[in-house]
Amino acid sequence: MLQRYQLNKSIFVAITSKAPDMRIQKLANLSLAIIVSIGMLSGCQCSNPDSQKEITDVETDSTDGTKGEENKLQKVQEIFYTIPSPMEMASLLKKTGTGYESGMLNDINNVVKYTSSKRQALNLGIYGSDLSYASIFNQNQEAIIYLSCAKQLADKLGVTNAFSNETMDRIEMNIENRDSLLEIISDSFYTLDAYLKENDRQNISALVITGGWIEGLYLATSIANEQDEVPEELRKRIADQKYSLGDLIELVEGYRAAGGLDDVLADLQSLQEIYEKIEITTEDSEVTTDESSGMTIIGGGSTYELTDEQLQEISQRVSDIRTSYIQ
Amino acid sequence: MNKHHHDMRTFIFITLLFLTSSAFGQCKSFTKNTCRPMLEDFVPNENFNSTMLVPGDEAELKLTFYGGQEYRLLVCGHPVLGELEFTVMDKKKNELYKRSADNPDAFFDFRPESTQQILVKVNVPMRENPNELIHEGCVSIMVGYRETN
Repeated sequence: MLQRYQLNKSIFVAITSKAPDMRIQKLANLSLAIIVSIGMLSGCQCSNPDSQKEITDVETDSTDGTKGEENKLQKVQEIFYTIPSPMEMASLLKKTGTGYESGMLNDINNVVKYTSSKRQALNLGIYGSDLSYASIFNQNQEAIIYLSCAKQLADKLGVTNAFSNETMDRIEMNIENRDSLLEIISDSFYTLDAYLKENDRQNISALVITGGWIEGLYLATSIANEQDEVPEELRKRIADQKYSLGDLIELVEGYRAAGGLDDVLADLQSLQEIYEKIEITTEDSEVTTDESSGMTIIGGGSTYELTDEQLQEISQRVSDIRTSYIQ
Repeated sequence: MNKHHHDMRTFIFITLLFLTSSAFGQCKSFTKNTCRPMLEDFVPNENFNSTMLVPGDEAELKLTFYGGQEYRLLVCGHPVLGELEFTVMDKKKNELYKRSADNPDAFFDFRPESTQQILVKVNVPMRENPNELIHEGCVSIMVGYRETN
C-alpha cells in the first residue's frame, strides 16, 4: 500500500509491506544495494548541474518512475509563495526617472560582520538587491563589488554553485552587456533559491527573499525622501508593495516551522499594520488584445491613495528594520 | 500469479520508487535546461517554483504583477505528464486565460494596466485509462518580466 503525503511543501512517500519471507528479504537487500549505488551516482551528478546527462536522468527517472495501479494516491496540492524580484523592483525604480544613489546601499565592509546563517541570509538578499540596483543603473564596477559580497555570503551558506567560478567569468565577460548581465544575475539567484529549497533550507530561502524585498523598499522610500516632490510613479510603486508584503508574509509563515523566522515575521507584520491604512479601489479585470503588438492587456486592477504621512511612516519603519538587519 | 512473479514485482516496485524520489532532486536541472529557455528575453523571477507531481495533482501560484510591465507566465511540465492544464485568474477569481485546444501555448504573455495579484492554477490531467501506470514528473511555474519604456 502506498500513500503520498504533503508536509512542509515536500512530498513524502510511505510504504508498508507485508512480513517478508527469505526471498523477499534477499530482494530487499538487493534493492537496498541498488538504491545506495544509485544514490551515490546521483550525488555525483548534482555536483555538475550543467551536464546534459542530468536532463536524461530526469527523463529516464520520471518515465520509469512508475507506481502500481493498485496503490491508493492522495491528491497533492502544491502552493507556491513568491514575490517580485529585487531586479524587477530596481527596474521600476529606474522607470520613475530618479537617479542612482550609491550612498544608500549597504556598506561593503559590513560583509565580514555577518557570522550567523540568519544574518548571512538576510544580507545576501540585501546585497543581492543592491547588486540588482547597481546593474540596472549600469554601475558596472559597483555591481562587481556587490556581486563579490553576495558570493562571499552565498559561499558561507554553502551554496557555492550559485556564484561559481564559471558564473563569475561569464559576468566579467558580459560586464558591458547590460541585458546579459541582468540575465546572469537573475539566473544566479534562481539557482541559489532552487538549491536552498531542494535541500530543505526553505527558511534560509525565506530570509534571503525577505532581505532583498526590504532593501528594495528601503531604496524606494529613501529615494522618495530625497525628492522635493515625490514622483507619482515612485509613490505608486511604494504603494504597490502592499500586495507583495502580504505575499511575503504568507511565504515566511509557510516556512516558519523550520525556525529562525519569528522576529522577521514580526518585522513584516509591523510594516503591514502601516500598509493596512492605505485605501484601495479595485475594479474588475478586463482582457483585451493590443492589436499592434498582439500582447494581451489586463485592464482593471487596483489603485491606491498613499498620503505623505503614510509614506513617512513606511519609510521610517522599513529603515529601522533594515538597520537592524545590516548591523 | 505465482510467488516468484510477486516477489519480482515487489523488487521492481521498490527500486523504481527510489528512482522516482531521486528524480525529485533533479527537478532543478529540468527547469534550468528545459523550461528556462522558454522564457526567451524575459528576465526570470528569482524564486524557484518547481515540484514533482502525478496525474490529478494541482499546483497554485499567487503573485503580484506590476502595472505597465510585460510578463511571460510559463507552465512547464515533463512530457510524461501530458499537456498540463492551467488557468489564470484575477483576485476575484475571474478567469483571464485558460490553456485549451485554442490556446495550446505553455506560456501566457500579458501586460496588466495597473498592479494586481494574479492566481495561477495548474492541473496535471488524469490518465484516460485508470489502470495505466502512474508517472511522476517535474512541474515548474516560471515568471519573467520584460522592461518597457
